[in-house]
Amino acid sequence: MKNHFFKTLLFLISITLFISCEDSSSDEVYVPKGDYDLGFIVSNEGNFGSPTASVSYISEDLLESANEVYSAVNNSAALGDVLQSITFDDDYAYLVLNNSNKIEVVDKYTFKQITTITENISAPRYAEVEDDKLYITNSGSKSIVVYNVADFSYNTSIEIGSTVEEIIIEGNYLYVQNASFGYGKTITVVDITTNTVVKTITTGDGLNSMEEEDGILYAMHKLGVTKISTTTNEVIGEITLGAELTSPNKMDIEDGFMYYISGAKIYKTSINSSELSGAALIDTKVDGASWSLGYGFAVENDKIFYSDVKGFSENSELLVYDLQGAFLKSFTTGIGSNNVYFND
Amino acid sequence: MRYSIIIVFLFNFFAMFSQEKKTQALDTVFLESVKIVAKSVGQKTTVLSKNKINNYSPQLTEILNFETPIYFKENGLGMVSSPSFRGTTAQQTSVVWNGININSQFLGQTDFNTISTTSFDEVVVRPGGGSTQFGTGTIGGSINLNNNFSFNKQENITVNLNYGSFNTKEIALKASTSTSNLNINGGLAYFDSDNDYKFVNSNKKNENGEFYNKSVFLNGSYKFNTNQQLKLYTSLFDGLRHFSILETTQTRTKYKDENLRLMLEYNGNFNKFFLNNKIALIKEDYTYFPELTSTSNLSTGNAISKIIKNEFGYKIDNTLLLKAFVNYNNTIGKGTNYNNEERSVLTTGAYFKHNVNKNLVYQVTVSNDNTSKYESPLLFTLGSELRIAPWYKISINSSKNYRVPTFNDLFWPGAGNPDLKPESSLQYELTNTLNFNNLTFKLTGYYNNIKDLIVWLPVSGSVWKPTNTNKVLIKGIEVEGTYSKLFGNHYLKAGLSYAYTRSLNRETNRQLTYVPYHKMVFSILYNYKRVNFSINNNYTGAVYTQTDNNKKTALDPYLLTNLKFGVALDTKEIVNIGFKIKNAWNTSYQSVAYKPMPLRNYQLYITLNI
Repeated sequence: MKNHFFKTLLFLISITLFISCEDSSSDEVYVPKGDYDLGFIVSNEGNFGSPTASVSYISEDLLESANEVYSAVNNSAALGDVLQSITFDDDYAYLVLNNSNKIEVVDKYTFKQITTITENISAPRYAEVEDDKLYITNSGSKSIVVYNVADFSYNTSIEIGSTVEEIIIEGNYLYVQNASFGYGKTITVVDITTNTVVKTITTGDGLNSMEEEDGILYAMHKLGVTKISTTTNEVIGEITLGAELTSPNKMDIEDGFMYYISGAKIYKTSINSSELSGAALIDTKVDGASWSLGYGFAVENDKIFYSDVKGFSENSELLVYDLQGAFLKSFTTGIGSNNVYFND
Repeated sequence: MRYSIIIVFLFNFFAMFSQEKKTQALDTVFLESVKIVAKSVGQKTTVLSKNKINNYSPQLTEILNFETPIYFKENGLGMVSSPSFRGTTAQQTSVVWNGININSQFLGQTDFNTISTTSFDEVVVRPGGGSTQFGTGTIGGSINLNNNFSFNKQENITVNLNYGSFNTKEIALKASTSTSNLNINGGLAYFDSDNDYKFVNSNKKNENGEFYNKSVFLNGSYKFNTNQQLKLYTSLFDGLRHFSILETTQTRTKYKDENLRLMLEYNGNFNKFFLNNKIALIKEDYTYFPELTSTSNLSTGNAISKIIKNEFGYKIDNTLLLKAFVNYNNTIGKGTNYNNEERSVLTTGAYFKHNVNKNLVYQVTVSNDNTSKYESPLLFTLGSELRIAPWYKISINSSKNYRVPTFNDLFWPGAGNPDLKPESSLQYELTNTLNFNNLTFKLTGYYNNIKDLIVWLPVSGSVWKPTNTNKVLIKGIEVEGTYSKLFGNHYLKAGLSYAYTRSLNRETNRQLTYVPYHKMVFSILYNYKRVNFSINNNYTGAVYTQTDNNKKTALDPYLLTNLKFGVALDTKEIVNIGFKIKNAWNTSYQSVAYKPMPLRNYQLYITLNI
């Protein structure tokens, strides 16, 4: 494993060197660093209790796509049980497998497996990399576990003691959402220079997603968005619900706009607005039980993605729109598509 | 090649004992099954006797998997097992213990690996509707677990020891004693397995799959006189299973089941009137350990049902029988996810049976269940049988059945849906029966229209919520044949049962998941003096695991063959020994996606009849 890892590392370094040479000699041409560079990566959760998690790929121009990417490049190996989320750093993609209690680390351009992290992992949810440290929320132990990216060794644990979900790192602070499945309303702030909890911030009820933009943390909850300064860690404002909007969730910020969903509809509001728009940008017309609607939603690289998971009883359909709301294309992805990332 | 080795071996085996004489006792018909058959005009019944029960491991799944066309979804050997009977869902098969429906109040279904067959004298399988008789959930069919009493003034003790692959141990002790008016019978059984079977083409094995269970039963019957009889039934089951995992890093969990069943029954015959009263207490208890070694965050459930069933009969004359029945069932569910949830069901109904002449009989049952908070449809069963020739009979049956939502459907925190409607089913069937000397042949066609099917859909990875979504139309054909012959010291019995099942979601027109189009079971039993041999086969066609009927993720068809050789060491057949080969062709198969089942495995047994 180690041998393989160093070989890959060497290979990567040489490729990076090679590419930087290329780049300096001719500014126009970019050579993709692997089959899955410069494209959309779809995480497919799979069925809980079975190794049906998978990764799909869609090219930037939406012309090409592939399913079961991980298995295809790793000798048909099954990825695992419930792919909760994926995090990327400069070299790697970290695939967080909730019910397998593991993190699969892959080369982010080729998806070839580098290593598997299992030490002190218990029902992991989300991950983030900052300054060569990998931070993972462990819902089983209600803590954040920290690893050294250099050799993927365990570093330390930060006890949170309540629900741990998405994390955002900004400056010296790590913000962890203490809410999941629509329940909870606090964010714990950790100082990552000392790995100590410094504060707990209260948002509105039913906190469901967070995004950071220009020194402000936007925390979406059932009744609007709470704005928090990432320098003072104080609540600095509240964006309220517009007429006819109920329980907005899954907020993503792209080019100064918040995109979010409510049921089968997708909405868009400027981050400077004081009210969340209740006028739908897109009606996906996806039919289904209210709780499975918009299971996967993301705005990445000027595209809006919305998944129809069809009750997890068959493969998902991923709908793609442009930022003006025009429908572009749909793809058949894996079981339970829960997010889309742009790999660059 | 493998065939020839076994056949050679078989012949050697027979040659060794060819000097012995005496034939094995043939299957015996008992009382309880006769009662069920009498009330099943127009429907088929299959009685699995004690001999057949002893042929299989003491979990209800295996015997039904090899003796009937019911499909079982088994999460690995010995793990959670749920049926699909005639193309229906797991909650649409009733398991009935001496006349009382014992499906879980929480799940609405029975886990067939938590029923120890050691505690019963016979299992009666009846395909088709029966809500008028066994209440909610009797849509695909019923599985009846019966205890019988004889007053033959005999005492007997049976000891059964079994040891086999994966360190599987079974110990069962049964005893019975009777006078001319009293019978007491009881038993103890222990079943335990490491269950660490190897997976094909891999160095992996079934991890964290071990289980054990203990069962105890004690039954008694007292006859006051020829007209009045009192019966007491007790049954206790206690099991602990680890839930198997596929990846070593996965969290190891375990699950504990405890079931207690008690019943007092009274039978009285007074000229033209007769009475049958049952008072029962059914207790089910489960504990889920989300971490093997920890007792924190346990999930528990405990339901106690008090049941009263009263039947009043009146024989108008020798051909006309009229019955009225009033049943009451009160259940209280407690646990980490239930807050003293209570449900009461009052059932009233009438039954009429008319033997028009010796060739024509019909029966009508009408009943109504008043469930707290629920409107249940008026239920009925109509059945008739017409004998056209001594060798040919036509049977028809139609029934309206239902299933009320379970405690989990209604009350599960964050998921339960209190607005659910009951499922309902209207069905018809027709059976042709041909009887020749040693051969019986049955051909059945049926139609079952189900509305408001309750389906659980996920809210997120581990949170699901139920809704009345689907309409399902099931059409099927069943073929059954049995042949038996006694010639000299030889006894041969062969049986075959095939089912073609088309179970379609009417909105998508797609086959339901985990319903095979084809399933066939085929068996041969051969007895010669003190030696017996049996071969049991189960062919199961492909099943879809995704609702879009994706062929890529469908499970492959498979053929399973079990062989058994047995011999009595003495002429009184006190000591019997033998061995079993299960999955003789070493077939790699799964009945639930990603839950591999064991390859070829072996068992040795010794049975003492004292």
